[in-house]
Amino acid sequence: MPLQYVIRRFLWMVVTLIGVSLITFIVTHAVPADPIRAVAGMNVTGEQVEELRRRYGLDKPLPIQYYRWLVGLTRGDLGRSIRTGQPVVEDLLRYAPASLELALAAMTLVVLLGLPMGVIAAVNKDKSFDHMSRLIALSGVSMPIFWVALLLQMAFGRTGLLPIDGRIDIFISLPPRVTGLYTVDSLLAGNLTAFKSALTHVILPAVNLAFGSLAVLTRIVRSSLLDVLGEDYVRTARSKGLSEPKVIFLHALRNALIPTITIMAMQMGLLIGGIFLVEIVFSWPGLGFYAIRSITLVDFPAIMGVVLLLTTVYAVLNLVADILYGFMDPRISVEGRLTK
Amino acid sequence: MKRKCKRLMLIGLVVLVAFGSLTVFQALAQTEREKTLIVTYPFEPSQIDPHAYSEAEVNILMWGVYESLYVYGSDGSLVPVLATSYTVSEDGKTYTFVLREGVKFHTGEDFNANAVKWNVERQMGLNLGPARYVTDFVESVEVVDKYIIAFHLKQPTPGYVLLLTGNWGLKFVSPGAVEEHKTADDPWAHEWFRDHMSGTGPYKFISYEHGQHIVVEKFDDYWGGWEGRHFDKIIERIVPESSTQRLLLERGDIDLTCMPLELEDIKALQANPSITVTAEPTVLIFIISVKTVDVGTTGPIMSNPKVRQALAYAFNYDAVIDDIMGIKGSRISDMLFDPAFEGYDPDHFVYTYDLEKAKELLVEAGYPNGGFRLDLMWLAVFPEYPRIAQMYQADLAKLGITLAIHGEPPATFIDRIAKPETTPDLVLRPRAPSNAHSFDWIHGWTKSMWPPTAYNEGYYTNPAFEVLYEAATGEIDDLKRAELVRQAARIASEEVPVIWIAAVNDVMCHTSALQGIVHSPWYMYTLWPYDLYRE
Repeated sequence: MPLQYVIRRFLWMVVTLIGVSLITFIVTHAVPADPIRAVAGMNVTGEQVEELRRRYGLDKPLPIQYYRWLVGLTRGDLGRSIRTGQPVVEDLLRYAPASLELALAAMTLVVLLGLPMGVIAAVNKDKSFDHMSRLIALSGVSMPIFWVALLLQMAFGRTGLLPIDGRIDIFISLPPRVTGLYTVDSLLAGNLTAFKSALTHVILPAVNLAFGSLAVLTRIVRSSLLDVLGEDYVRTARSKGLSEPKVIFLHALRNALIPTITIMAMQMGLLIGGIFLVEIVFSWPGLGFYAIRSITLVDFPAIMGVVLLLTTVYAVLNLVADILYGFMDPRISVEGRLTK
Repeated sequence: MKRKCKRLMLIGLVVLVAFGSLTVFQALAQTEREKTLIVTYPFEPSQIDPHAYSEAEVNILMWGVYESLYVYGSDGSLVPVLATSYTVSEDGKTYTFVLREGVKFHTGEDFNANAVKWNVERQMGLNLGPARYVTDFVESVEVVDKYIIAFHLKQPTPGYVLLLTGNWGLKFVSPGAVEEHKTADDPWAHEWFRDHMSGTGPYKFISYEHGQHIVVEKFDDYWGGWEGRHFDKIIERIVPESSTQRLLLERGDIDLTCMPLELEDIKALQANPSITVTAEPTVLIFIISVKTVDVGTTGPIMSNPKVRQALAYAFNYDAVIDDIMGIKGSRISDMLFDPAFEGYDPDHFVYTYDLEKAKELLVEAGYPNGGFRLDLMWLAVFPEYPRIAQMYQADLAKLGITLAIHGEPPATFIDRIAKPETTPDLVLRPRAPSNAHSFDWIHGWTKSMWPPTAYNEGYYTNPAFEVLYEAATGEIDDLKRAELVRQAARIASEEVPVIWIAAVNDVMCHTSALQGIVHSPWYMYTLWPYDLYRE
């Protein structure tokens, strides 16, 4: 994988991010909104509102506002949230770890469950497990994420088996912040009580978030593996006397996973989008929680910050997926054509 | 074999110890739970500095950590808290308060006249939130004695104490906390107070986990003491979803939901014998602001009082309560809708749903078959508004009036009402007086409160009304002032700048074991946490 390709992709990523930030800026400012008024409330005077507007630079022309934001971006300054009054970077650092923890937990479930399910479904094609996985997959892509969230809450809320909201039991002292991921920080602190509580709290929202992607991964692995299992080299491996598990795991699965990587990079994007709804239903204080309140009040700097961050994450994931794809399949050239 | 047995025994011992410690933890947690009040709000506050706060999302903690000179009782009367009495000079320009002795801030220093003066200076220096009740009125503050403070006002202001009382009335932060956390750029430590608290109340601040919860626990040196039953700790949790709050309440994970849930969830909780649902009227009301100027119309429609009166008679007030708001609403009368208001008249005129009367008025106004179009916009913060708008649309159609309806979120709503050209004819929205000061409330419908300055979005003005308002502001005699305000309210009643729909009830769902509930209509979405206890 030539370095030039990576650098070129990175530069295009930067261009994309600037384009996204410009579109977001235009869209949010095109809305005839006054976030200062919305945040200040009703018990304020006109002079107070104007002072606040000056403080946040919203009295300047739009091109000046965008220019200032871009300049600030080069210094790592995304402005100040109109709602919280805090630097947006600080707000993002405060809320992002919760979303990261949720996303990682969901992806772990997707991979740990989706891969084996897809393999078993492929190996048992048209048998009862295959039909069951097909049903689960259909449910995953059909049911709206918020509906699944409410069903999970109702099912577990009444039984008391799992917590239905929040990140950790409120009577447990939070572990010292190292990563912001409660599961990781509690392990680092050796606090097993906190670890258990954080782990049980993340289960339901992670299952909810993972459900749709799990469905997609299962079907992709199944169909990809079925294609590969029909190849000549697999027939050769069998004829050499290799056991079926060795044929599948040593020869077939690796090649079957190649198209899966690209699909999963796209699924991460959908997963990021799903975070917004999941966090609201499960009172999970992450970026979605922060973003929704910011959007309601048209908090321009906060919205720009969240969009930039999530777009960056998605772009980086796609870049990583492309690089991995090239490494896993040497036949693929950087121009996307099969090399001769 | 022996090694295997030893290994098994060791594993068993570890499991036993782990299980045992978890059990001990659960038992300790249970004890702590019983002494802790856990409440929920659906939104996170922007900040919790009481000198800048003008929201409702942490009301219960605000009134647990901070105190004011007086508060409103359930009947609207003034109840002394940090002041024990006050006098007013003959010219109405000086209010002298005798402060309660023996009060300490959470940081340990005394609450006294110097602390009051310092807090007024802080409120004025920040000039945020509800500062206007100080900045607009106060000329200077004088420390008369260690526990006597005098507010010298810019002009005679009868009932000024009422302006300092209420949900956003003047509260007192600890000067010591400000001193400790101030910076050169932030001499009033506003940044620190954005997510920290330090006052004189029964509870002191412990922690604030953004997006999750705020914790306060009892202040041992509270002047009111801790005899009787009280909670040791209060935790406010931020839970956006109504259904989640309901489930948590049913599981016993929380004790009280402070803001109204969705109607379906309330109905489900009402059927639960371990849950109590209380509904008490507040001073938060639903109104329709009626535009009183004609912009772009072919004739005098909105500027015609008879048309506006017809619109008031065409509104089905009872149906709103019975069919839409249910337990969440109570009928209100007119501008002075609460008995705490000066000038409140229990026999005042009230509009009723009467389409025949509405038709007669339209005939008198020159619109016998209606034949014109109006726009109604609602502020998209309450789920009842679309249904109210649809109901009104159907009723106006019976009069031949076409009503176009739509909703706007808060951020765009302000922009729409900024000019008469863009303001819809009818605006369905909430309003709430900050305090029981009548002329401060009716001030909201004077010309000086036209947008974008404030919220007289009907662009109402009437010379007689303005004269009465001005006269009331300077009238020292209580009875005369009450009469002036009452006359102003009667003018407004005839002119219909507002259709008074309903009061929003504070619908609180709580475990039946929660006791000590005292509600005041002037403090929305909160109870007095110090009085609460678990049976």
